[in-house]
Amino acid sequence: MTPALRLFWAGLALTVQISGCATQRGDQVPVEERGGPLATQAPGPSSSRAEPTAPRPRPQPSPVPPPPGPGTRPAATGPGPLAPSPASRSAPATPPPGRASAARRADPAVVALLKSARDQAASGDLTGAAASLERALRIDPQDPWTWYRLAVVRFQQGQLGQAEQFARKADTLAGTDTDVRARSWRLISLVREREGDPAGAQAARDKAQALSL
Amino acid sequence: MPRGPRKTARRAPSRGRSRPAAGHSPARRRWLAPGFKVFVALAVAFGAYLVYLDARIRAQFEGKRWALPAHVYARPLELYAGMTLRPEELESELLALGYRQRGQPAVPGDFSRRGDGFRVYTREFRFWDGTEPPHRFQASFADGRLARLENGSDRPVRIEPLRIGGIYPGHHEDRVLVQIDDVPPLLVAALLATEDRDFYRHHGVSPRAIGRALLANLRAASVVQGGSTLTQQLVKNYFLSNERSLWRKAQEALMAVLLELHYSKAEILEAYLNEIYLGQDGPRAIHGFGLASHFYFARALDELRPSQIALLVALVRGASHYNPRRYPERARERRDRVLDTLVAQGRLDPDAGFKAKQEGLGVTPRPPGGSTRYPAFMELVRRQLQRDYRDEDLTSEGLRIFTTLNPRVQGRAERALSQRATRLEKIKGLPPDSLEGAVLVTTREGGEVLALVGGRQARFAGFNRALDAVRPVGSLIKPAVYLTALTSGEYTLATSLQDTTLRVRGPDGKVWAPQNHDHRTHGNVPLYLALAESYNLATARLGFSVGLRQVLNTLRKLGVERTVPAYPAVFLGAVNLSPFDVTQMYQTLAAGGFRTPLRAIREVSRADGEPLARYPLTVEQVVPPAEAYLITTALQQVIARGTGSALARRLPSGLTPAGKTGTTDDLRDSWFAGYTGDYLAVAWLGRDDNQPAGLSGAAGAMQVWGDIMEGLGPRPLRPVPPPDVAYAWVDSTGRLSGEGCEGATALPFREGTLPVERSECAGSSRADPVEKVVNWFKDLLR
Repeated sequence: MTPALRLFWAGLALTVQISGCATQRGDQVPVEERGGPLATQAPGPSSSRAEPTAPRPRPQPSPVPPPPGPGTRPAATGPGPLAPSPASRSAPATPPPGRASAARRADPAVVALLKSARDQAASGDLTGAAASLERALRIDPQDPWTWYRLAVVRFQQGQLGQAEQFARKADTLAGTDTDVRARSWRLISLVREREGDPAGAQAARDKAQALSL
Repeated sequence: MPRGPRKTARRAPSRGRSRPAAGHSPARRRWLAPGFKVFVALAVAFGAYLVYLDARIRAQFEGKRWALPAHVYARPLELYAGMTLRPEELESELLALGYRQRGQPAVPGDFSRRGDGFRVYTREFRFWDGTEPPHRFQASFADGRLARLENGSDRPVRIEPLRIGGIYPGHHEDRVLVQIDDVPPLLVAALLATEDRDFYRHHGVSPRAIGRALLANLRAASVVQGGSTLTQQLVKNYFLSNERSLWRKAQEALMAVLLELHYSKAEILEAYLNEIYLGQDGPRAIHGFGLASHFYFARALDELRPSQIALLVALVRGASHYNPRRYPERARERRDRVLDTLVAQGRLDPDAGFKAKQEGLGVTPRPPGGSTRYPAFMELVRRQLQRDYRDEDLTSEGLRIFTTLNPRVQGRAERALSQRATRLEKIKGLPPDSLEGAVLVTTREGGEVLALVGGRQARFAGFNRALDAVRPVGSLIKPAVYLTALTSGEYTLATSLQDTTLRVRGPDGKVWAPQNHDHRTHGNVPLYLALAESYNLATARLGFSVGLRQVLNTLRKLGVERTVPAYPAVFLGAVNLSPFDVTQMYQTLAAGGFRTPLRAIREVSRADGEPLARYPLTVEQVVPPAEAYLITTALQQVIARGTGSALARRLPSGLTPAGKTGTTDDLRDSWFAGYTGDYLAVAWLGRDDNQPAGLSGAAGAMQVWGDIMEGLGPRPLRPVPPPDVAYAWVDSTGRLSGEGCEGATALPFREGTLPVERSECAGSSRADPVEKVVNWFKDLLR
């Protein structure tokens, strides 16, 4: 295992830990996050102002799936039931895009920003953590793990919709990296549970299960 | 203050009654009474006038004290080893930020360059998410990349962002507010020494100064010296009038006295430092020393040397007369007088004074971008901000707005548009300056607007074509038709379509008979090729098969918010959209089926740096990954072999961008939308009067797009095939084929949609057609 990969596992473990015990510090400045598409026309009367997200109720401590230990990493070589693509079975001489993106993770600037994000999340600064992750995405926008971490941060902030969407993004960029795919679907199952959609949660869990095999 | 006038007013009516009084002859009373009445009336009027002046001057003082326009910043340049960046680009970024090139960086704001090696000492900057302290780093370049970066950490080096403009109230005043405690003492000393020696002793007007001035003026028999105190000058500035009448002077003197009654000397001095007029930049007036320091020297006030401070003080006497960019000799003479005065008064030691006089003016040749260089992009920022903030807040609260603008990309886009348009006008024999255009460049995954060009004259605010030129988009609409077909489950990229004559009678009885661009029909063509070659007949037939309502639904999903008419001509692009709308639509395709709202703003913080709002990245999956992948592959074919093949010939072969040309009736509009691994760009060319420009999408807008990408050095586009997508060899009729078979092409298919029919060649091929594709696919990735 390369040092970069080790660092990343350590980071992931921490991220998940945080998700269990994150607290929003009381002394933090409430920062509004505004969304919605960028209007180019003058705002009409119906134009709604973005809601502040900071005062939202904090989500309950979440059981984000614990990461497997370094030794128990599921093999990503065998094609899953959903991966019959010849591309994903191609010889390792030319890594398919999924692998390529995993290799790019070695970019020290991205690793450093992920570390900042982790520290910020650990101190309860989830908004700052999201901003650092976005900085990392500007450097490497195809890295599924960064998207996955963003999903986890949004989940911790109680932004369930965005948590699922970022997890889906991580899933589509993952290629043959079944590990990040399985995690993403597990996170989606948690989102759906919290949204009161047990059937959807079960479907996502099944998908995650199939990917972890 | 208003007590005096009221007393007078109370007395007036009692005197007004004609009450006989002993000791005065009626005749004398008659003579006195009118005189007295006039006097009283005048006193009343004067009192009322004072009340009026008082209210007016206080309103000005209070209002101006806090009126701060919003500051708008470009994206900060973030440096990390391995990034695409040329040494010239780092240098120009640093110079634009007012960094000084010297042999050895000594203070923040210095840098040195030897060949491809840089040493930089960055300035401190308060970002939205914390302060970036000043620090030193070394960088070296090789092969168009930042090869090495030493900064004692792996974190990217984040350099302060370029200020790209302000949002001002109607009268175009800009401010960089300074506080009295942060102003260099030498500046205050110089100001008092040359403008108002008695400042701390007088009450708004200085009879001594007036006397001195009068004497000097009499001696010279003309006005050579003014006796105005700083307070009077401040008042004069508030109402900005060139009138030099005695009446005006008296009025100013009265207001100065009133001002001194209400405010302390420190408050008045601070207001003066921020208010005094020190220059002009087109329509923008330069007020205050803070802004003037940026305007003339491109640095902060506390970074100035004594000679520069003296020059700013020199300008107080007449910013246009002593304009150092225009009249350097005059300015220098006046600056040296200020320095002499400082030395004479013991405020500057003679050695330092002598040295300062040896120095050049140190003024930057051109004023740095303040009144914005990027009016079109600023317009986008303003429109988004107006959704969340009131106009008053934007023009008075001094908000700091961090945007996504990348000056490097913006510069490329501006040059590409203006140079290409000029060339095309010559080739096509169009009248000069008749061809207009617009460009947007965004990040492929994040939807951040890196560049927005609203016309060929990018420096001038005017009709913003990127946002407001709503024009027919032609074939740019077609991916929506094909995507609708692919997601229906009834079609694959290999499905054979009929490109044959089509006549449709609408409900109004009118016949719609579309034509291909080459006025020919092409018979049976595979779906991907019909898109790549932009065949109208095949597309219209496909549109009818999948249904107009479904296509309109796809458009909405992709992010088109404008109303699209529900008639079949929509299939071929009879839809009016702005370049911005088109960018939003293609953003969804470029980001793998995730709708990503275009963003021009990242963060907003208060004047003191306190964070206020963030505009985060948001995504929403609106197209399943497999179909998003298929449509991108098809759009790559447009450039690999279709209407955009001229682009493939000029760009590096491994880039494999995806894109689509668009051309409208009589060649009025020329469009191109396309994306690489890292950028999405949309270009439009056409004429404001809607006359034919004589340009197809490929001949016009696509060239602009190519010019931009050539300059940017983009990353190759290699979308990740989703797990439920497999490649297979197919022949031109859509049957399974094999590698090396005639007309065989490897195409991606969603699981369960692989063709079942096999060509004769596929039967003879030894290996499974699906397996055989691997080598081909590996080539594609190389």
